[in-house]
Amino acid sequence: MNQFTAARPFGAGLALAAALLGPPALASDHLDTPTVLGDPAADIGDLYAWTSADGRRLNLALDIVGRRFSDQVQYVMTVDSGPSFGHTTASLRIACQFEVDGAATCWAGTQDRLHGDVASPRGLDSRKHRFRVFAGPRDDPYFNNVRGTRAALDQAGAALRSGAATRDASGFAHFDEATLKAMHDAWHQTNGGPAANFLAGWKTSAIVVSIDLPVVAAGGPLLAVWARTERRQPAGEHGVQPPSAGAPIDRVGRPLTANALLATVGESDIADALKEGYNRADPEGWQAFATEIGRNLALYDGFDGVAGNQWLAEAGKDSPARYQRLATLLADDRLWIDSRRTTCVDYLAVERAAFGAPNADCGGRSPNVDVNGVFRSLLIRGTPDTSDDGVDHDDRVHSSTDFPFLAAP
Amino acid sequence: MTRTSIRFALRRSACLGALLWACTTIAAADARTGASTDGDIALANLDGLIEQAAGEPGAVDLLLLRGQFLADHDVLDRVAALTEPNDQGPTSLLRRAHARAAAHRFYEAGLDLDAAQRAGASPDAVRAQRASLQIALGQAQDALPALRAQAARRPGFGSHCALALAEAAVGHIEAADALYDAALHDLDTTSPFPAAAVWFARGLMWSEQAGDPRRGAAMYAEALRQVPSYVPANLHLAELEARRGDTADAVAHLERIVAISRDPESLALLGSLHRRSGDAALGAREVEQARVRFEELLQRHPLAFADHAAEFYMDAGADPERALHWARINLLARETRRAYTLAIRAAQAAGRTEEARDLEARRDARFDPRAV
Repeated sequence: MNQFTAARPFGAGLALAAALLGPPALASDHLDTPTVLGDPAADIGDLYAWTSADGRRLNLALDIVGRRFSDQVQYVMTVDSGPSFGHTTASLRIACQFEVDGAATCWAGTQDRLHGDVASPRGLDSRKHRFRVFAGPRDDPYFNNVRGTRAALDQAGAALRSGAATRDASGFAHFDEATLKAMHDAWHQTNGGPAANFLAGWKTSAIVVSIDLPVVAAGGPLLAVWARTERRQPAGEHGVQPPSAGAPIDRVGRPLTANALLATVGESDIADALKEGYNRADPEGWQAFATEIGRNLALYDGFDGVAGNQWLAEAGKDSPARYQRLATLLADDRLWIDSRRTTCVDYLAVERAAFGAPNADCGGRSPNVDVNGVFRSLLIRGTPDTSDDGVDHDDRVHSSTDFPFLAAP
Repeated sequence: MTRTSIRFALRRSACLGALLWACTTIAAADARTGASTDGDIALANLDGLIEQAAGEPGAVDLLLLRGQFLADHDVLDRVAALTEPNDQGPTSLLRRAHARAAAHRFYEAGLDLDAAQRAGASPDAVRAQRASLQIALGQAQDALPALRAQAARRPGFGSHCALALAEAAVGHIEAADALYDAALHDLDTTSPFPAAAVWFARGLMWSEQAGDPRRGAAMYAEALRQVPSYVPANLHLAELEARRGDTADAVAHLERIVAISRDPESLALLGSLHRRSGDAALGAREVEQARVRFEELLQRHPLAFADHAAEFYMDAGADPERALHWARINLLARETRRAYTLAIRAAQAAGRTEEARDLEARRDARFDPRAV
């Protein structure tokens, strides 16, 4: 036995993230904190939520970095519902627990449940046929030029640290032309070559749920979806009653909130601490992160050299309040879905509609949508139409209509 | 100290050095330990990460983690391929230092740490790795002040665990045990690896340093409760079982691990037990397989396996001259009390009484008898 290697158990995930991603800030929610790096089975990669084409069901997919689900973690997707954007009055927890042999037990609140083998692509129907679950290996649908983005942000961070770029009273970062060009060039490349999807070929484990809309829309047609991994809790009455909430481990709503908007170019220790706090926060504590999110929105606003053209930025304000509106919206980290709509191809459609954009889309997030492109383009120039990292689709095609939606690995 | 306990003690040092490095790199957390993910699931997910990381330098730590829990010594080749290119960035230098230390190339690891420091690596990261090297080289006493200060400044899993290892290394058993306990109490992760490694380190300390094999066995069992396929924990528990005559239990543990690992030490012990229980042919085959495997590993990573090879050739391998050869090489790599003791035993076994006496005198002049 090689004794020196015989007891070096920790920090591996940290090193992985550092090496693969630079400061782990650029995947959707993958590899976001030291805690989840330690247990990939608790590390959420992405959350997807969209309405079915027939308007009867809500489809959900939660994927993790690990190849197998933990027997000591519960995987919870929460669907809040209400009459209008920003106002929810009811909530349903869809929770799944797994045994070592892979058997799953899932609950849709107290309304319905299932237990058994969910690994077949057909999934398993619940007792009352209100929902269906698949859980197993899938291709990771997320796509992102992580290296190019990291390189561009490194340019930004270096300019700020050296004084070549300065922030004004709003936090807006003024980069000189040379830095802007270097960032632009770096962002459209991977290691000096054409932009490449860092997650091409990545495998994930996904929990896919298709559930009757009436079960999740008790509060109204507007749905707000978020998910988290929690320490496993016992289920009541021999599995009949769903488990209570456990200590939170990881949390996700929209992609890139924690990984892109907390200490975006900051020190990794600070970023780690912020993200740990973010993941563990309960909803009443979410807005505490709006200030930090706003600070980094101001950074993104500077990436095209034009101040105040970010979506929802109030250009007339010469203080951090300029970015407060969007920061507040994003700190409420939930995917918003208009369940009356059956087309789901416009990321952030509900949020944008709430601020006056025309909309006929359910919003949410379906598997093939270029969420990075929309998100970053809105943050940089206020329009949702440019893919800044040069990667606008996954290497695999996923379905938004055929269960279990995500491509087999 | 009996021959067996000396052998155990000899094997102990590097385990602890590596764990020390690890302790100081984990993020401190302040919640309490809860149930952790099943060990086999965690290992499957570790393999998934390794596959995902493929040829990335970040795979180094994942590979070493695999090597640690599954005694997969082939990871050293993959790690060397990833770290040996001459990248002078601080992160690369730290990573190479870790990889070289894992292969017992301590001198070169120290040079890498010096270079990393000059290149602007985080002082905390350099300090953490330096402490692990000091322990591996039998200089735990020198690491203690900084580790005590760190534990006082930032109490938590990482600092408690690191200090426990160093305290144990200088013979402060009770203090170390309390620190291990505190470290486990501080731990907040669903990963089974940190707790398993701490239980293993505690088991080593009690069984092989403090002379309480019963207590040590219970701690190995706890490590195995976290990660049932933990090869070194299975091996050490099997050794204790064999010592107390529970051959069937020992064989069961060893058969479990030889099915998943090519660790020659496990194979050698299994062979010895089979010989002892009357299955001489099977035992001889297993010992021969262990010898071939040792030689294969020694070709590629001589320093990493020098001490284990010496042990093997003094015992099941039955080649005292070869044992002395590797014991001398091990002593060149690190002049620790243990390395001296191993060389003394090897010299005695080879009939080199004068050399043994000379080594003994040098050892006793340099080291406190309680040092490990």
